[in-house]
Amino acid sequence: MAGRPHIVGYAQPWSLRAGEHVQVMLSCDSPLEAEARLIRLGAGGLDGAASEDAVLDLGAIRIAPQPTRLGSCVIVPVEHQSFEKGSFVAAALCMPTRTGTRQALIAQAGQSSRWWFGLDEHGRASAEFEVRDGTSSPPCACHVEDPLVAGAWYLVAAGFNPDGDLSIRVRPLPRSASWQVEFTNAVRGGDASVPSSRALSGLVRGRLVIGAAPRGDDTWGDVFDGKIERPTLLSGLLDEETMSLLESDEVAPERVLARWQLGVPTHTDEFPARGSPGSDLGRTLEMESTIVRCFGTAACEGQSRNSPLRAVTGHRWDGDEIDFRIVPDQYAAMHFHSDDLDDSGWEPTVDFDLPLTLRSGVYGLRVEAVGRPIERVPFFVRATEGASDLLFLAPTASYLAYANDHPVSDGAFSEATAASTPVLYEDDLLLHEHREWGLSMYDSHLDGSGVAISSYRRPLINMRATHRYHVGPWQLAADLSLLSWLDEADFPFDVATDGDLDQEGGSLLSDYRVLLTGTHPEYFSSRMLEAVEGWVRAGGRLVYIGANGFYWRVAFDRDRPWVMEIRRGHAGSRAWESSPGEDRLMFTGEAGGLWRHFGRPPQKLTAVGYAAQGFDASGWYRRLPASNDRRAAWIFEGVADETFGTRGRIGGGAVGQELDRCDSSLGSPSDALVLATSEGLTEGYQRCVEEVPFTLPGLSALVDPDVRADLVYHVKPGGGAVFATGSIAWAGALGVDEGVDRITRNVLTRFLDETPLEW
Amino acid sequence: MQPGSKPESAALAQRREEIESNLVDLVSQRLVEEYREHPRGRHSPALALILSYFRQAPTVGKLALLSPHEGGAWRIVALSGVQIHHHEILESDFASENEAAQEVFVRRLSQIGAMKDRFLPAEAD
Repeated sequence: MAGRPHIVGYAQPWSLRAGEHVQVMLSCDSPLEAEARLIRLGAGGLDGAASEDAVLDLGAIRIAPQPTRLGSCVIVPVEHQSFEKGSFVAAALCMPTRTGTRQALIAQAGQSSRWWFGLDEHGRASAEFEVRDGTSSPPCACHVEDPLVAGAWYLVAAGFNPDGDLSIRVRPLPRSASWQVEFTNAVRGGDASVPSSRALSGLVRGRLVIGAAPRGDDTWGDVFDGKIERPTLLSGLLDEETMSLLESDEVAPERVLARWQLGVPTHTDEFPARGSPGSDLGRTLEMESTIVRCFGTAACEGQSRNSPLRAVTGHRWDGDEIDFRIVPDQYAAMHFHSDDLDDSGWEPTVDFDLPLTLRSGVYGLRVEAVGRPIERVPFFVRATEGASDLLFLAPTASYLAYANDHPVSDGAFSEATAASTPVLYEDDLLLHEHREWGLSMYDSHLDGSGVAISSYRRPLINMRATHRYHVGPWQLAADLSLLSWLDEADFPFDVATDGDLDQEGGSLLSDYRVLLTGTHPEYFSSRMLEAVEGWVRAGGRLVYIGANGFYWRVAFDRDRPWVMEIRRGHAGSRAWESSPGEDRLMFTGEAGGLWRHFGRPPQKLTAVGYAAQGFDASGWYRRLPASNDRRAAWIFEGVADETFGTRGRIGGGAVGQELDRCDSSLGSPSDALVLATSEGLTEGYQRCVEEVPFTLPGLSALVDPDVRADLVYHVKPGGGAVFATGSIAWAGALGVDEGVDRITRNVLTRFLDETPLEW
Repeated sequence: MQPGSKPESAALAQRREEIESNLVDLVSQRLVEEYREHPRGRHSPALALILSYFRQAPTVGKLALLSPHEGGAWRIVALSGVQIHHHEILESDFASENEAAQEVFVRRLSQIGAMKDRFLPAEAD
């Protein structure tokens, strides 16, 4: 079953202001003509009846298919003049993680010749070269007999000798903790060589690529799945002694033409050893994240493409230390994936200046063509000045984490978590077939490792107003419903993104009185969290209208703010776990994982934190005595019933999907008011895994009292305040449930009033 | 490592056989009707146990529903479990999500050996 013909696209930049220039990159299945207009997303959009009136009509446009360069590698624009002609050796330490396709370790191609070494389609180490001299001779090639075993470390080297042989040699490396498999008889070395009638005179004139092979102009193929360490070019012949020197890293410096440092670019000045004078392990890197240093007599710096993973264990990792900054020599590898993507690299199809009068909000380029579903490419428009006292912080870090998720097609566990028969929607079919649009942080790569990188420079198919996740409205689609309600309820608001907050910090919030979160602000960087915590402590008023927020630590790339990283560690509701020793974020050096495990549980900030999830049906709230407390009674003005939230577009109630509870043992302030708690949840709602130290029966809402959503209110000593709903489904009850409507209006109205809150 | 070559494969298959045998004993006409009436939400312990097992099925060949495009019918598909490879459509004429989910449930019962024909709607328990 195939998805229908389509138009897809993405906008650059993702967040900008009125009057600024935006580019929209579009692609489609075949060339076509379309009509384009700028629209405000979510306007009047409750129940999907969004207005599509043009804010700016862009008229007819032409769209053509655009190719995507998938897979990560390092590109080296070799200064070929600096290499001497003659015999050379190409070598690398490597741990393949997926075999069965042709994969290059290092390759170089020029106009008249090329050379290549890596794994052939049978997983055998092989080398080849080709001299295009006008004859029709096939490439000269050889390979060892036994395939490399995925998960084992090897030294692989190829010798290119103009006066004789082409050779390839393989040696298994000593066992270390970095090996993914046990040493068996299948892990073998080998040698092979073949005489060459037509000699490669030496390194060629052209681009050199590590982890892939050059293809035409600025493209690549044969992407390697696995780790590569210490890729090296040596002068001279490949013999047994050279193999020994390569393995022990004792090759004479004058013989090293080029050796690339693939690990995180650290040296003693940047990351001094622990305990040494001036030690500052918290410092971030001082150089661009994509730069790959090179050493040698003909050194030539490289640049990584599509974010291969650094801060991964190398062949020497012994398992004693898990901080790459302390033992950088044990983290000297880079992990390449054939399905890595951080930038589709498409050409702009449409670019234009935003109208100067454009109001802050979420906008989309609406593109309509005959025979194609309408595409609405989203982006965010900030206020030119603080136009409103209310800021909606678009949870773009969370949008990026879920971007292009494949929950049903790939996720064996998604049916169990949804507690219902899995449902595919049209977008799911497209995403299943078009892996070139990149993966989400809930997916795994083809080699089985978790996806740690996401980017907005690619089509984000599930970031659409019309998208339906397998468990219902989710992320942007759910948040647009919230914004639509704000419009209808006449609460003017500005919009900024997580990425903006990460870059600008607390100054972004200082002009606002009220901050409204999205429905599921799950992913936060350190700078984002510090900004929100500081702003609330200083008097800001936070309306946390969702759940499972402030949960995972992420980091944005300082040099490329469209790229975000996660390391999931070994706890929490995780689609995958970090590989052993790979918990630290390469962009910042911080430990990845749940904020609660770094002493900053969401309960401290918001009085509630993640408790449970379930997706089959929603429950409702019952008021508690604190709802009549004189400090909070205004929240319930106009709410007559003891129960509320009994209706909603998500599961039929306001308590659903993911839930937060108040828990003083986890940091909820002792004087927080728990105004209401949930009722009516099913066995589909199960306790969050980070709170299950032993496997135990009885973790569902039917028997576990900690499986619940709490509605809380708290005023902090500095005058700042937090109102939290404890439920993602709350926003789905807006415009449907009278009690939820009234409470939300009361809170926003009072929080926007500058009069100090009574406490 | 190729699927099927894992040393634990035989043990896993043996355990599945035992689990499915035990689950079959729980299946009754009343249980099938319970699912028909309430495919979501709270279930009896026996139905909850059976659904827990079905929901853990591996992705390859897993049964799923395909939402209709523009007013069409609900469909049942078998997931390919392989990236890019198309999911296979098995049936295409269900008027509602619940109707399609019911068919998936009955097919799954049949797969574990609880004979589909025993639990047709008209048949008494």
